[in-house]
Amino acid sequence: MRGRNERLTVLRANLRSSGKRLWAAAAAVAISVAFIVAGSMLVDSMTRAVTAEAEQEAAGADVVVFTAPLFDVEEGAETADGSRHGDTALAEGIEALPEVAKAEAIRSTYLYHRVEGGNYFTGVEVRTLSSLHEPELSSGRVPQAADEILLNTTSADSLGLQVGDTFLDSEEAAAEEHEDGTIETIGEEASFTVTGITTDQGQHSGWLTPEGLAASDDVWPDQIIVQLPEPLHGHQEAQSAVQQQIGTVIGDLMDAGELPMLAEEGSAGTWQSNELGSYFVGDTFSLEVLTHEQVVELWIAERTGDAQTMQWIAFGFGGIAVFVSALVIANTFQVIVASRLRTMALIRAVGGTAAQLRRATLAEGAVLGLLGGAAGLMVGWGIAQGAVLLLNQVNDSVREIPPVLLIPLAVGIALGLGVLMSAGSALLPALKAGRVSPMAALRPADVEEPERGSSRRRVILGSIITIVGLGAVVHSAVTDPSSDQAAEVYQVFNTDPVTRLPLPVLGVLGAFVGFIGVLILAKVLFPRIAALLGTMLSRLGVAPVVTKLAGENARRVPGRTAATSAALLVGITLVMTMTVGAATAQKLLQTELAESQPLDGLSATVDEDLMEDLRQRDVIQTVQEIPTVHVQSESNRDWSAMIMDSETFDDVAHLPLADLTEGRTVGFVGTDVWPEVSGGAETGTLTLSPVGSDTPHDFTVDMAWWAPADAVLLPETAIPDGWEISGDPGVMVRVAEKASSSEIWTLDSEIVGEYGVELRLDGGASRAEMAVAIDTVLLVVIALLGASVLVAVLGVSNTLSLSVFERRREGALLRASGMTRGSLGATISVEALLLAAVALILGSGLGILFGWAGVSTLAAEEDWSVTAQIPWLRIAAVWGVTFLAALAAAWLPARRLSQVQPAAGLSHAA
Amino acid sequence: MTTRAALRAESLTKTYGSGEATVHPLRRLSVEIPAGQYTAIMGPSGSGKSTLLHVLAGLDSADEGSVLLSVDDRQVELTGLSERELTLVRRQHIGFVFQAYNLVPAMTARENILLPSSLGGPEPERHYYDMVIDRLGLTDRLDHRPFELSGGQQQRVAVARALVSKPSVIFADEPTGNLDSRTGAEVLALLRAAVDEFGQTVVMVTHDANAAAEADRTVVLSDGRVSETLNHPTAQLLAAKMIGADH
Repeated sequence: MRGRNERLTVLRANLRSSGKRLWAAAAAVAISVAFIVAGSMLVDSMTRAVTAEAEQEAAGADVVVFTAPLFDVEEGAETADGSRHGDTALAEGIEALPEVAKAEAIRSTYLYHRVEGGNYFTGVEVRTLSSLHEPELSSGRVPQAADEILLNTTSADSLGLQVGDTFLDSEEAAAEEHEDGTIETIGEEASFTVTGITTDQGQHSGWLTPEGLAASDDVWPDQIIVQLPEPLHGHQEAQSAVQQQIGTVIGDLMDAGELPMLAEEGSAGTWQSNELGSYFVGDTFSLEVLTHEQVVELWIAERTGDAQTMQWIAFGFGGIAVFVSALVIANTFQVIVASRLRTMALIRAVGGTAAQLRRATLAEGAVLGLLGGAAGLMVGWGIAQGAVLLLNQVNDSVREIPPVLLIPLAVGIALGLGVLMSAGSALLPALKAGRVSPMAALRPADVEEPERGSSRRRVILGSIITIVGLGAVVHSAVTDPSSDQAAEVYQVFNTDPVTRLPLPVLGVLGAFVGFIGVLILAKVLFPRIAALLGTMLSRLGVAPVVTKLAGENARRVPGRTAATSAALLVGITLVMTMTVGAATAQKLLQTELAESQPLDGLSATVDEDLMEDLRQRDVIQTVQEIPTVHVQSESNRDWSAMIMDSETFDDVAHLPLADLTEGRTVGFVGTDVWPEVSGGAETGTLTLSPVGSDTPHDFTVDMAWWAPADAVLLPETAIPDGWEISGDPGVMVRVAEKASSSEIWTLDSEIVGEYGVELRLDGGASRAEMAVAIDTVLLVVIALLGASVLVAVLGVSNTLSLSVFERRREGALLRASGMTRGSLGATISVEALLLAAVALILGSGLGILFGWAGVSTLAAEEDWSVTAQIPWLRIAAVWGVTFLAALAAAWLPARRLSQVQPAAGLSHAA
Repeated sequence: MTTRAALRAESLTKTYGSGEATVHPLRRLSVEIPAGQYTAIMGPSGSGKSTLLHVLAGLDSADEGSVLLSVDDRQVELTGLSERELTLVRRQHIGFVFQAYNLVPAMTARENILLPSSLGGPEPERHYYDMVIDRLGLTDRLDHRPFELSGGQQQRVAVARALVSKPSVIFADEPTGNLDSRTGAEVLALLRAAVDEFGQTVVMVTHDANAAAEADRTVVLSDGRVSETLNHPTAQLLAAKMIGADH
């Protein structure tokens, strides 16, 4: 009891004296905890939604057999009711089992309904309405006649159908537009009356009566729902027993030749299981037979793919934030212990044990972790709840996510992680606290010696680890994808022959190891870089005393400077890696796309109005008129052939004509024209003559997937003399850099609507979509890294506050010697900028290397050579934002230091 | 000896707090610091000697009264100057030797000595600078950092800093407080030399009678007022005064 009180006295005194200095560490804990908590809460919430849905769908089923393998290839499509499918026989066999009340074969098909007013069709997967469970309806009733249909909310919403409306199925899923503007659906039609809508918000689904479904073509087996009689219904053991018996039924049916689609001759199957269920497996088939519980689990697993990914993302980025926070917390405790040196020595002198001091420091860490963790829990809960509200707002067609709950797991993670993180980070400083000599209390506190920074061992070890790690990164990036590719096994990525690791894995490991090496070198390297930068600025005459002093101050506390910059370095390296990687990947894909889609759009039939219209459009950057010749083939098919010269072509194309033709004199034809070409697989000879004259000429042409199907492009140099340019010119266009894909598609359809000309702007649209996709991913990743960067910036603020605390007397001396308030404050701001600059310089270097190497190692195509693309503007933006953040972090500490009274330095040693 | 005043203070009054807790460190105090002399300010704790030093040196300002600093041929009124103007006055015309923490740890001895001029104060004359460094025996210590210097060496660097810019007045606040007696004596001798050899004006606050006995004049403070001004007093006399004043 006594011992406990003593310890609490020290702890209380410690917390009292350093409460303010701990806030930044607590905030760091809170932010990283909030990140992880929000992620797990969101995942829990989504999983609950999916679980409820899966339970609802599986209601009434004790065992489910997935019957897709029972599709009869030969007969199935021909008989109207599909009676040759094996599921009917199997269902009958199962129902004959004594422990089974009912076995119902469910089949499915796709119905296509034309969306009101448009030329689009939406496919709805339609199943037999089971008699074994009642669907939850939001309106109407279940279908009772063959021409009635039940839709889920998703289908009804996207098709714009309500109860009482007609669902028109079109077999061809195509329509024709008449000249008067009416649209007529092509193909056989079946019409159904919508009698009800279910509450389900999953994929597009619908239900028909067994008779209604039997009337459709292309019906295939989906599943057999098995229900047990009342006392056994819902019993797990009985379900498992029936599951086994079904295996016997299948074997018997196969022996009797009733399931010819599974095997020609009756070869018995065996049971195989994995974590998701049981399969009845034969030589050539595998039938999935699952109990109720297994079905629910399977569906949950299938549908929470997104949620699981999200959990990994939250944990990954949260982990980075935790690492950064640990650096910040360790830093805080180190300084706090250092500043308490005298107090602790006094406690030791009056009889405190080393263990008591250690425990007090650790306990302080634990209290900090608990408070920070609790705060993080609340913040994370708020974020998750906000995200759910936002997701439900934005995605109104997707299933509703229930509100997030304060689940025990999240509470445990928050508090546990908080305590672990801060007590763990306080461990080393606590050991140091225990080593304080009682003599320290008696020593005069005058000019302190600087921390010892470098040890030879650290330099050697750090250098080796860095070189090995970065070497592995470069190796994984430059290894030629095909160099060791053994032909026997197809693998997505090549493996390194020495380590037997796939190259991308080796690269990531190398990056990680290299980064650790840099962190080991940090204590030697970072303070020197900071001091060097300070001296350089000083030499350049930028506030010489301030910059010099700031740099030297950073060097005097190498441990703290290293930890602070390292925390920033983590975030900055990742941001730079992503930024450079995105730019490099974009360039690589653009090059690839330029080869597969050299032109944004082209058409051989353009009148003057259209040409003028195109020139007015903002979406179009360049318009080139292309001369055409009206030509015909030997089989009298005729086209407007576009005559290309390299200058005009290169002006609009993404790939120079010379690259496209590889130096040959060659034309290009679309897929429709290709049958007229005689010769090789991709290159051949096409004989053409101008319409109305009989002067045939042979052209060498390539098949061009990128050109419209009826396009003929001929090189100007191959056109014989005497051929006359005829009729309207053709056009090649290049879309504007900034145009979005939707703007491009809109233009495409407007041109079709107004002029009946297809420009085929696919190339331009793909380019725009790709750019948006990459930028979106980049933005999301950088936003997720924001938490780590925020923690690191807090760390900068924290470090500076602590150094202000230590430099009050120095500040007073400088003020007395004639330094202005502003300059004194500026020493702190400049120190913040120097710390940031160290992280930026190293982070940019590492980021450029990692970004390039990442794309290079992932681009596992033999002929892809990847050069790093450095997006200078974006990198400059990262620098700018980081500097601003550093200045913001320095603002309060700088203010505090500048307010030091010059007289404070004169007073007696305090 | 000239009688020109380097510093003249008139009717300085300074009050802290209010009600029962009111402290009057300075009560209509007037004092004159003659140029080219070594003046000690003595007094028991709470007599106002530190406050007086702060006000005279432009580190703090009085509520009432005026402080006139002779700069070359003109007089600068410190009272009423803004914080920034005071900073510039300190930088250009005032030198300090503190009790402890005299040096910026991140700077070498040379950088510390040149600190006022690097902050924008007057550039020291090369010849004079060399002479001071040589006289103080710091020639081979200039590239050392404060933690590499002994306590006495640190104080010598501080004295050098105060000397090289030829300030109008050098203020020393208990300059021997943290030092052993031998080093303390060395610092006092240096301040004496600053006056005798370099023609500087030195004002030193101390509670050590032996230290004050080194000065030309000793101003004894009591309760915010000047109780006595003594020329060349002995240490014994001063010690007796202090004992008496403590009652």
